[in-house]
Amino acid sequence: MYQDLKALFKSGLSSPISITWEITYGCNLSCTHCLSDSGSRAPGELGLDEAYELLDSLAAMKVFYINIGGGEPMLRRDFFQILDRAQNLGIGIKFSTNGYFLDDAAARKLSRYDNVDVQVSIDGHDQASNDIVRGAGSYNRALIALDNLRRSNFSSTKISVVINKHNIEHVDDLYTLAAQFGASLRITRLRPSGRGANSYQELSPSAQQYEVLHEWLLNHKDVLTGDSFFHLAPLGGSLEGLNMCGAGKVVCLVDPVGDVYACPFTIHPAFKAGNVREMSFREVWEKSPLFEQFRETDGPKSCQSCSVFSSCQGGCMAAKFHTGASLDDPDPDCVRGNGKVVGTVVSLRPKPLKRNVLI
Amino acid sequence: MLSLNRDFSYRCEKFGALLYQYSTRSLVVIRSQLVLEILDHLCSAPSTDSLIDGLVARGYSEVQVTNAITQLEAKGIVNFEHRTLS
Ligand code: SF4
Ligand code: SF4
Repeated sequence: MYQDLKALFKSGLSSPISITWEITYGCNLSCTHCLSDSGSRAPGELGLDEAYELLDSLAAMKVFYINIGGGEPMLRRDFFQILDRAQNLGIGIKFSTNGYFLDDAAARKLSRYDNVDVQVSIDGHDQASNDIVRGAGSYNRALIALDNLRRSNFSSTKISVVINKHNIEHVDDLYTLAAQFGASLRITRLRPSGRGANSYQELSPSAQQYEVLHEWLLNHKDVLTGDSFFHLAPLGGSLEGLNMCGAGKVVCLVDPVGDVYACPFTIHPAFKAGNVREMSFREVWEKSPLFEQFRETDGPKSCQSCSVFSSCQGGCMAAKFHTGASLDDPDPDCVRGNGKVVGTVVSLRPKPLKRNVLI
Repeated sequence: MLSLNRDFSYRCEKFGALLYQYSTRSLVVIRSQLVLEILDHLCSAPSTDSLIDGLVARGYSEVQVTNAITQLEAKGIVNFEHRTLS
């Protein structure tokens, strides 16, 4: 069924299926692979009125759901006001959190919403392997948040793991850990964006590890992947999801200052389509020349002659870009061994504020 | 009275309509013009009878319309609220 959708979606939809909205660059942690290089807030992050305006336009366009991320979204004092507005407008929310602020009261509040998913980030099956990536104490705090959600009977909890060459060996343990909290497991691909650009070569799984993971995913169809492993599709079998790069076609990113980028992993001027302070989100989505271009291209030139092009379509644009390859090159983790890592191109987020302050 | 189940959301695209189900995270393309019209009129029609009458007036047979509604209900996409008279 999803094969058909891929053909229909290639040239773009009238509005995104979902957008990722990073509501703040502020974060209390400093994970080594942070996709958005978060830490301190950026000057001029969207205020609550502007957030409402954005939500209203997303609702008018019938965007199905919003992935709220950051930074740590719960650091915003108006976080629940944003959720309330989304709920009233009938937009689903999936939000990612490190769990530090997800206390009992917050868990109880969350359990009263419809169509809200919580993704608690954990990057290792035990304290040692998690904390080395996410910082001391972060594993325990995530477990406390998961326990709070479980005790509040919150029904849509996910444990969200960015797969690296260490934790890939423990997907079974991670699966068991999620089950212990009545949660689903969600694993996504490490991309070299944000601080991930610097840790990519050190943390990226090997081709062999990816092959084993692919097999594991085929046997664990209940594990969510955010459609992020489609570069492995040529290995055979069919993974869940659309299996395509949706950047500017079916998804995009709005960052904390209102800049719209092709996807969460492309925070760089080369992928900026506009800003919601300068024009409406609808205008950016419908008229951005950059998005037009993505909707018209047939995939990377050097992949066109590859026999498995239809299943992998040349892989992830962000992974190529941040490893210094051209968008016409194969994915750096191309399963046919045609990928190359040329260098490192870091994301360019707005200059941070000096202090981390609650909003 | 019929209403769209809160687990679903849909919108029109040039190839038909996209229906998204929150609990299963699945997307379905709807191409049937009749189903699209039923979904479109769910909110505005004051009662199920008037929804059916409206569609019959647009050329569908009553059987076609009720069958389509029954299928949508069986799939859990629309809810039929049974009200008790007070
Ligand atoms: S050459 Fe391109 S299309 Fe072929 S497997 Fe590699 S990335 Fe995919
Ligand atoms: S660029 Fe990569 S991360 Fe972004 S939507 Fe495409 S495949 Fe996904």
